[in-house]
Amino acid sequence: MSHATETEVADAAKHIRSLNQALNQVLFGQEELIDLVITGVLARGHILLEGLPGLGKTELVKGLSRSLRLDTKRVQFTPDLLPGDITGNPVLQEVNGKREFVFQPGPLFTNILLADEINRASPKTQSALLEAMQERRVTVLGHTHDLPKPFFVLATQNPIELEGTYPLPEAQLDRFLFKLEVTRNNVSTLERIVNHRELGTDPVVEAIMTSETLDQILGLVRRIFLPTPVANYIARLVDATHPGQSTAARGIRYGASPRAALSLASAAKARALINERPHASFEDVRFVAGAVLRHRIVLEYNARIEGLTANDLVRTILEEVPFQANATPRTMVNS
Amino acid sequence: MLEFGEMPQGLSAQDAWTAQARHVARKVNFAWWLQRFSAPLLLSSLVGTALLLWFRRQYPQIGTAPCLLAIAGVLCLIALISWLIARKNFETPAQSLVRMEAAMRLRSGLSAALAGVSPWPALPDRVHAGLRWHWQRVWIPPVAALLLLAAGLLIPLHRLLPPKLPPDEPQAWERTESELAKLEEEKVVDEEYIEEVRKKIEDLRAQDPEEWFSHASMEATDNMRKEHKSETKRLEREMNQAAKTLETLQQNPQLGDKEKARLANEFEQAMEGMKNGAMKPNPALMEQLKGLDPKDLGKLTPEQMQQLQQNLKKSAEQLQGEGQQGEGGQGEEWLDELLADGSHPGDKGQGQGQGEGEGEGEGEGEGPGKGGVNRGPGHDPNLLGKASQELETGDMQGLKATDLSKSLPGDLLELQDGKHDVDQSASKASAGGDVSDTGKGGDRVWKESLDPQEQKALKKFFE
Repeated sequence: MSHATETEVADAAKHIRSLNQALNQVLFGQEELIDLVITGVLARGHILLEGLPGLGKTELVKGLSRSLRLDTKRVQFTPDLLPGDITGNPVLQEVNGKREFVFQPGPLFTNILLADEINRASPKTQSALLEAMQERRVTVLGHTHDLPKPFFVLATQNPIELEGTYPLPEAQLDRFLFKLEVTRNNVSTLERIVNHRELGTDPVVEAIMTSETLDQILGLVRRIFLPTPVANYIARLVDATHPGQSTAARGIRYGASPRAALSLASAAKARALINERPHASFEDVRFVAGAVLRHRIVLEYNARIEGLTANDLVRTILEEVPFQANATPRTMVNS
Repeated sequence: MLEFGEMPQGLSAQDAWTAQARHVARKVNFAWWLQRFSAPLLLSSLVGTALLLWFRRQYPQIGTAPCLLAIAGVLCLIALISWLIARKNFETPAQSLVRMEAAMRLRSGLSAALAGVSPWPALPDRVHAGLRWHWQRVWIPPVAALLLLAAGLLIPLHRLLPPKLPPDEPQAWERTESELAKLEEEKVVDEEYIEEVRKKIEDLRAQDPEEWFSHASMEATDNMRKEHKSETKRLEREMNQAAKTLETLQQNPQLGDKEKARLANEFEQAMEGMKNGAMKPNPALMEQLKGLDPKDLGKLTPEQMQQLQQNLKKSAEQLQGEGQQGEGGQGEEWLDELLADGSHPGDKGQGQGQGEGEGEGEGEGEGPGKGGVNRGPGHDPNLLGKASQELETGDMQGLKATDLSKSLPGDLLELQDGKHDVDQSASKASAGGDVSDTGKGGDRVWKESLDPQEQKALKKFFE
């Protein structure tokens, strides 16, 4: 597989910039969030959005699907939602004069699935989603059905009102490429929202690219060059999340998995493409590290008591692990 | 921060970046070597300084060049070992490129260019690797090592003093031993006495050398010495008396009975004295005397009498020789030199063989107490060499020492500027030897200094 050329990268970057602009028209004041969502999509990853209600999570997903001209479905997860409700069920139908079970696809059979308040679904339903996210296919009554391409899950969860919810298990969290935190808007952003939005009406979003273009761009991301020093940096970052491997890891009970390293590499490549580079860099890794690692590390009880969060520890690890693998002699200092 | 100058024109971007990377790699590797070298350098300098000081003290005649060469060799060896250890941390120019692109925020442009994925970026005006020297860690170890070695070279040192020798033992011991050896050789006196005196000397010698010249030791030495002299003289006197009696008998065979009885009595007293004293004649003479009845002296043949008389005379002469051996008679060169100017009391040129005090010598022996330590009426006039004849009158005269080889600092001061603590009311050393011994008490006078006849007279007087 040949590496992406600068020309290819430049062409793809035009589309990506347009997509970015379109989404910024949907969601005001969340530039970094939009950047990361686009990065996640280009890296073929699923994204978990966490934030208070009404911050625009659903609107962002809707805007993304419209601008990409992709099929999108939304599922509001509730405790009584059954796996079949999202995967689809066989229905007894008359076909050619004979009655037989015909598989009726559920909402999973779409390009972008918006799984609203995913933590309110029962573990059984969450498990059904697990296979779909990882394998990009579902199995019902012994029959496996492939999901359409591309397939992304953009799930949301509410960090409050946790009573009666089922927190996602670690294994399922690991399936998400990013966990993004949707923060509240500042005054100027709120003013802008008030001036440009009206309750009950959706913003107009123009289509930016076709699914074929998206497919080409996704293929191009894979061809972005990942330099060996950057791969080494990713490996050292992931290793530093494990207890005993770094100072920050003292507050961590379980570190990130190899899948986290793959996710970092993939996201760094996507980030490089967004920045119009045919190769990933240390800075790309650093940019996506928080989103990739924060839901993959399990904090020690003491660290939680001390008020530390996964974000704090990831930030400390990023400060602790230098870009270059070679240590600096004590007779020199980093300037 | 490592910064580099302008690159020569005409170099491609790749060559320019590669050259810069090599430069960074060299500096970083040198820094690693410095780090590994610093601690051993300090340690070896410390040890080297100690060795240098020791060497300068032990072998001042050789000089410091060999030691410096050895230290330089060791430092070179340590530098080489440090380099070998530091090698595992050395980085290649490719790794330095990563360091540079990270520091210069080149977004992995150099790594991608090195892989051929993207073109080499243009060389900016300022190229750096994000590193700068930690000057304290760079300079302190070598400067400290230099200072240490310089201290080892420049600190003034005293030469190593020779090991402290034990002090010379008191001369009185040597003299006494010499006299004993002579007595033993000539077989004049009984061996038992010789062994007894030798044991006393050994007991004194067995003390801590620091105590040899203590007051108690010197007093014991003095007593031992004087007792020996006294015994020698006593035996000599008894023998002379006996010999004289025999001679009178031999030369005057026609003496009356009364006169013969007196002579027999004198002979008997002399024999008693010889038998009863601590120092007895030699066993052969003793046996000969034991077999004699003083009342039958007249019955001896002239030949027997002649032989006995000769034996007694010979022994007495030998003992007399011992008695004449004065303090200054041991032939010490320095003392001889002092004596050579003819003004010393013991000057042989004046025929005043200086006895220990009780020796008859030529009649000029110092009185008891003169030669003692810390006692008596004053210092031994021989202690500092030539003594003034007029010392005993209380007049002070300056002393001139021609040989100061064994003088102590205190002696020098005393010789030149100090005043002797002279008891000006000291009694004169009167001629006559024994009877002038006023410092030993009356008991000793009548027991040791008087002849048997006088002792009898004294006893009778007090009875």
